[in-house]
Amino acid sequence: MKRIPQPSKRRRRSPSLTWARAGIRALGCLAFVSLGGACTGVIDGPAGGDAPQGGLGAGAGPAAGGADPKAPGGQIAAIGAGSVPLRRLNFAEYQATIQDWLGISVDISDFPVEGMSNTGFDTLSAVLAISQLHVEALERAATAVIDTLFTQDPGGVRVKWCSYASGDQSKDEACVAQIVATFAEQAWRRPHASWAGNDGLPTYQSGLTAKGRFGAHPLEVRLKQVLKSILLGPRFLLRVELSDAEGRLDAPSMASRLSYMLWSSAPDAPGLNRNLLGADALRAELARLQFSGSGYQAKYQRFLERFPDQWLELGHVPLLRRNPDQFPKFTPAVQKAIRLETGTFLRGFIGVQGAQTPPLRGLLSLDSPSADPALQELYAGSPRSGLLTQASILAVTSLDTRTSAVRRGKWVMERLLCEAPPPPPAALSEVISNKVEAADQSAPERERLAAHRSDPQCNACHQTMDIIGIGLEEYDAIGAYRSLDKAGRDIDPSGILPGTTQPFGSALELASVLALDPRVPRCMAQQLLTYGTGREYTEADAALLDSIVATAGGAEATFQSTLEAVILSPAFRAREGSMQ
Amino acid sequence: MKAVRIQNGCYRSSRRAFLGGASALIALPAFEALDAKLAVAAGPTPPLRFVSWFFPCGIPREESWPRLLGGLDPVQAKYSRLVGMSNIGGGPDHAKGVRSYLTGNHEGPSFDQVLGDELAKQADKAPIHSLQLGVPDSRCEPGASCDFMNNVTWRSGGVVLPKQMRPDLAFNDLFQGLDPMASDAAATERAALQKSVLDLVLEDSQNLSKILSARDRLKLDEYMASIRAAEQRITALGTGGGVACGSPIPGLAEQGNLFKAAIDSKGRCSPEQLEAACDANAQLMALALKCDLTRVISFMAGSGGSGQQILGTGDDYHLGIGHAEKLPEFEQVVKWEMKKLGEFLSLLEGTVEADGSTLLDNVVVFSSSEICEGNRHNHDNMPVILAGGLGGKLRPGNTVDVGGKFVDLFAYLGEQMGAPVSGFGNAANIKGV
Repeated sequence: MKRIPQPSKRRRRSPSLTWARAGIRALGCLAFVSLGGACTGVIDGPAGGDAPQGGLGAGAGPAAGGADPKAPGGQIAAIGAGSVPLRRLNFAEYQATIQDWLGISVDISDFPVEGMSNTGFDTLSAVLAISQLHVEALERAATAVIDTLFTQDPGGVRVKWCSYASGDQSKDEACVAQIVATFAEQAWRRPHASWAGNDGLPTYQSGLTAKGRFGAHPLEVRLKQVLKSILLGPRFLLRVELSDAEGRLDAPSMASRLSYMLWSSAPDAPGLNRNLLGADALRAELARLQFSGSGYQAKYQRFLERFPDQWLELGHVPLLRRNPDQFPKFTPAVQKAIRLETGTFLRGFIGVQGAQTPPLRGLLSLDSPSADPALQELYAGSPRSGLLTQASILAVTSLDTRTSAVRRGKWVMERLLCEAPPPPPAALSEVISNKVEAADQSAPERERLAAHRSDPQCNACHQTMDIIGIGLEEYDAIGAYRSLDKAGRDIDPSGILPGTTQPFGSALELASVLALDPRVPRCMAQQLLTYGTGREYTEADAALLDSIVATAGGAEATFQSTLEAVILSPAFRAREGSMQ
Repeated sequence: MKAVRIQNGCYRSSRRAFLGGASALIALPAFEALDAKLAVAAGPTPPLRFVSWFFPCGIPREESWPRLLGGLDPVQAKYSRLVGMSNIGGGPDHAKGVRSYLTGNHEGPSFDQVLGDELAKQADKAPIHSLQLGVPDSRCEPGASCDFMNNVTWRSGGVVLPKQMRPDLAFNDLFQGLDPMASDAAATERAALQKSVLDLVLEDSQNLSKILSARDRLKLDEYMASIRAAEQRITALGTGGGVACGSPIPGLAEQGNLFKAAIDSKGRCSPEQLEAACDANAQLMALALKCDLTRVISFMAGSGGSGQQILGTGDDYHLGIGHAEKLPEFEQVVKWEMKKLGEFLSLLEGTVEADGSTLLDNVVVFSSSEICEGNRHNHDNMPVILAGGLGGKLRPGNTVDVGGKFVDLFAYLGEQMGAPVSGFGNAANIKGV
């Protein structure tokens, strides 16, 4: 396997654990030691203020970068997989898994509300909490699933039933043991033989016996309790991945990685039966999971909805609220249409099997006029070019009552450039947000924001955030075009893209400058990798990401070539060794 | 409804009788009849308890705040308004305000959890460590996670303890077991089975941990700790099936679908749903405290930056009222919030403890918000109500210019409860409460 050089010592400080867990990013100001002006640098030591804590939040802390050669399974550092933490199925995955496997629709409406990571993705170990409340909800759900199973599937359509009421005790017991064996194998998404001597089956089967835990009860009650235990057990709820001594994942683990990324669900039988260790097999499996004839696999629709919703924050569009007096154009029809527009636009990049799709830079430079009358009324023929000028993005990055250049700039940095600014230290942020608040609220956005750029500690990140955000000021909080701001003044969107020498005089020019930025295709790879592996990637992973984007075609990379390169990368095919 | 036997000094009602009597909608107060029987003069000293009552989006104006407290009049002598207290801020303001509400910072564990840990070390303790409850409300917005807007309770290591938004389910867990229609014997059996399932799952977890890396084991440990907590709850409450001290909450069981619909609305539930959820939670909390099932509760009367249409004022609370500076409507909502708090406090006041004092005399209820003024988002001079006598350790009934920070008050309350908490502020900063 190709050796990726050790990453440089230059490493961005991991954001504080708790905020990384749940994803607050500061809109205030950032403590920062500038490296050449761009918002990518080193924050070390006490300046950061809120040092990462150890403990349960896998995904943060020094080891999370994955390249610590002293970490357990240190061999992985050599192949760049990093330390992918153990994950709980999120509730969408839990629901889809049971739907696809048992054909039962689980009611998850009384489950705790899931957290959300600062990456925007709900697949990160660190945000997938397991509290007592979770256990109680999962217990109720498991009871309901098993009860439904025994009433709806008596013919053994999904679970291979046999008769355990023959009256012949040994036959009946053999039958329930067999039911539990097949049920567990399906639940755990791997053959029993692949557990390398740690199969949980004997433990659960012991619950079936007359001398076991449930021994006082009739055989059917014992069976139901054991099946329920499997649904509440760690091998079902947690995504246990097994690897060899070097950290290379075994075939069932690969099948699950692929299916949970692309289907939000367990692998099907063909997936589990394939040897997915080679590149060709992986490519073929990827295509099988994505495409069906000239369209998409039904289960792949989950990715097509969930990934853009989380990556671009499109999932927030239906939650947006705008005061109708202030924004009469923001009708429910418009709210629907703007999300649909971006979804349709993205499909053009995702493509179907064998289709020619435009390179990723087109995300910023291509226009796809919508025929939707609601949208036409909102846009009124104003200039548009790519994602940055689509109303969905402009609206989710605004506040309820006005635009926020900081939010928009931060969105571009996080979502398109993968240069998320770290949160500000608590002690400083209050001072600065007060300072910005104190600035004249009626002043133009550019002048108002200058307040937090006057502090050198804040300027390093804010100059990038604010300049990009001001470049988009020609669009209001619902994405309608305007040439005058709220107070009727001319808007000056011009600037120079920080980190480059590229000037722009309008949002359209900003978009065309960003379209040529090599960070965009690299960031796409990073976003897919984060979603698929459930860990955060940092500058420690620079070599890994560079190699993926080179494989995908560099500036010519398409969505499909990037997805394929991600899946073939060591980060997707290995993890910290399980067998210690 | 008939009380069938006495257990641990509390009346225990039959499970079927619970449902039989559960046809009316919630009426306040619901259990005074039984309480009257409990009014025994010289019983044992009642335990001290802590309740946090969070209300969202702050207040319209610092100067108008004292005018909005009429709802607390029925317990006027039993609460103080604390003036000049501050908490830390930081953007995004609502999310960080919620995160720091019981922690005083943006990373650490919350006071209710550290207090619960300390109380659990004591010989005389309640079976349940703590409860996290709230009305159905959830708020997620770009740049701020759902967890931070929706939950005030955190363990160390950044582990959130989400609030339970279904008071009917919480009631079942605490008082009735899983199947309220079952007989006592069946419920006992059910609890025993449930415990065995958790045991089995734990046994497998221990096996599984042998092949996991140290890092993976951390996640497995989080899972196992939660399984154990669920198991402990069953053990602590006994497998007697339907441990029910006191009385049922009329109509609660029938409200499950109403609460479910309210949760499904994702923070846009109807004023009626909100009112019902507030009332049910107030009764549930009063009952849990009265029966000494727990001594620590955090309750959220809304999520941070709540967008509910409270009182049907026709607008999203955070945006349409708070930021729109619709002061009359804003005042109306805060008055309503204080009325709900006042009703809860009245429930506590109407409950007589073993020594003849009232429940409110032995409780402290801390109530505030994630920000001060709704449109200004400041964190100084926060609106704070401190109610209850805490076994004579507090002197309510005043307006106290106490200054200090929330964390100072938490340090003070921990000390007064005989459970000093470390990592919070300086108790010496709190005087005159």
